[in-house]
Amino acid sequence: MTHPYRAQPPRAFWKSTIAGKHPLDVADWYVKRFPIDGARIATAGSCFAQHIGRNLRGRGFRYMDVEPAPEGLPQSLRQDYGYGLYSARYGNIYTARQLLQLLQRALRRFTPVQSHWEKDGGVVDPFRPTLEPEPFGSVAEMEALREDHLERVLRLFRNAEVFVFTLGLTEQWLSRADGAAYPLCPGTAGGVFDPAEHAFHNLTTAEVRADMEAFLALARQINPDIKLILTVSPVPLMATATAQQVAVATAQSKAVLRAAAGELVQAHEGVDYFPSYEIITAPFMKGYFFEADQRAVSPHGVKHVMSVFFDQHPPAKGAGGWVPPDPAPDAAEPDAEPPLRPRMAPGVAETAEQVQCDEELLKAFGPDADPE
Amino acid sequence: MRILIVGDSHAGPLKRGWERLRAQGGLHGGVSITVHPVGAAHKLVLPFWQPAGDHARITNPRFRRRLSRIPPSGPRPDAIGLSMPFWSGRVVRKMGQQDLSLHGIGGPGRLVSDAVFRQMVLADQQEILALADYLLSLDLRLFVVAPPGYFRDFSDLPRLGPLRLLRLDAAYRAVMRAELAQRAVPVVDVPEACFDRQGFMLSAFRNEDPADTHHGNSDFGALMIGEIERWAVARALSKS
Repeated sequence: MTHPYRAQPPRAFWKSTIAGKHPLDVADWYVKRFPIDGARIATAGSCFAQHIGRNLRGRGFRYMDVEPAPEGLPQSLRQDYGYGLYSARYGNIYTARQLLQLLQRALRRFTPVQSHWEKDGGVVDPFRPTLEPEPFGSVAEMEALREDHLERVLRLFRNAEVFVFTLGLTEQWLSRADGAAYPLCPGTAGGVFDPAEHAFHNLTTAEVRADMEAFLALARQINPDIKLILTVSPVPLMATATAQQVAVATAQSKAVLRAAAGELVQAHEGVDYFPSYEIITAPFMKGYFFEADQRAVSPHGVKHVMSVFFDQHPPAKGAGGWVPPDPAPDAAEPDAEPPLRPRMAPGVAETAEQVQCDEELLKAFGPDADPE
Repeated sequence: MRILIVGDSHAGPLKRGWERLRAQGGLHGGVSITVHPVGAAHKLVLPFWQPAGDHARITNPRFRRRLSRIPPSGPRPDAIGLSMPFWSGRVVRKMGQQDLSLHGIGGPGRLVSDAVFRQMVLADQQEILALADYLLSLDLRLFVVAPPGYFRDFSDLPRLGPLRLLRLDAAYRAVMRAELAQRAVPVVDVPEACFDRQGFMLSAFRNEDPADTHHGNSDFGALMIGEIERWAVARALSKS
């Protein structure tokens, strides 16, 4: 007797894939839906997405960074100032609503009423309030930097061929005035919480799906071929604003995100799902990859997740390395803008200036100062 | 009063200006100035000194050929003038190469925040500020001698544009001025009369070498030596 299960591969069966296996020996987690080698890849999402971006960059993929750290800013400070975490300095984007509104803001289709939060004598951007360790000195500075950021975010979405997004949360705080979604509750990292202005909302599966559908439609208006890889962060909620116990709230949040991701994959050929959430949190993994706080994912866990991803997406030989801030324009990308100059080794003018310094020293202080 | 001036290549015009004043008998009788080079500015971002008890030992082998310690052995100077902390060229050039700018300048360039720029300046001056802190800890009096501003033919002007160049330089100096103020280190500035209306240095003070677009000349050096002398007398250094 024949039936559909007979045609299924071994990975479709619990007994052959999971039962009796050591957690680290469980295989076949993921089969890619489309290749990404050679493609311009951008990342965003909750904090777990940082690992994906860092590994894509480190393994020679064409990872986009439209706001790279300035040369001259010490390496040790770059992440503190929001550089190198994602493909742009948008900070953590926890929810689908935030992602949708980011693109809407970049396209100037949405301008939130609340433009800034006050903090410690300065101001922060409500939509990336922890971008830098100190608040900005003025509203004008903060707004200028935000405008500059949004322009680059728009270029990012216009030019990315693959966008990797890690869904992190469903719980979020919204402006009652216009529905603007904040990454953090007002009052926690700037601003003042006011129940008359701010409302808590826990996104439903339908809402996450709708927000992601709206995002995808909008992104494809400016970049018709963009593909999406979704992941769900395995990191539990730090705190819940619901009446539930935090682990219960986490279960709901992750279930909603996972379900929405699954629906999106079913609905769109250009959307893939990578199961970082399952690799870390599946019951048979026994919490093996969580740190002692049962929340942070250990470096071993990250490494294991990434190995699964790169088993399916091996970097091609000779694949492009660092992607310049703006891809070079070509006929297929009428909106692409000229690339920035590549980072320079000392140029002619700089070298000449150094020689002039030596010559000035020689001229003033004599032959003891002759160049090496 | 004895004043020691140490610095990058901008100490060159100071030395040449001092020599000219000496030859012309134009030095202030009550102030004794000595000018020593440390090294070229592009190498001052790397470690070049270390603490050595009552002085800073210069560790860069090339620098040591000119000056092995600060202060030099012999009588302690009443004040040490540093001509290194205000030269913005390294950071300004990096900003230009990466097409970066600051809020309020306008025009092209990706913006970095004032705080990020400040960190870039502090990183650029890390070794020099550490040297200043160390010398202050030895109860040596310090002041800073400003280098010339930018000349209109500065090599990176075409890339940066005049407004961005001047504003970045001003921002750099503002960061350093605040750092020095925290340490109660005064600054001997370039007189306003040396600048044109836009803020560029007058070409009368440009280096004698046509290819050199960023150093002053001996006229500039002599003028600044005069400023240092006036500052020293006014501050009555010898009394403190």
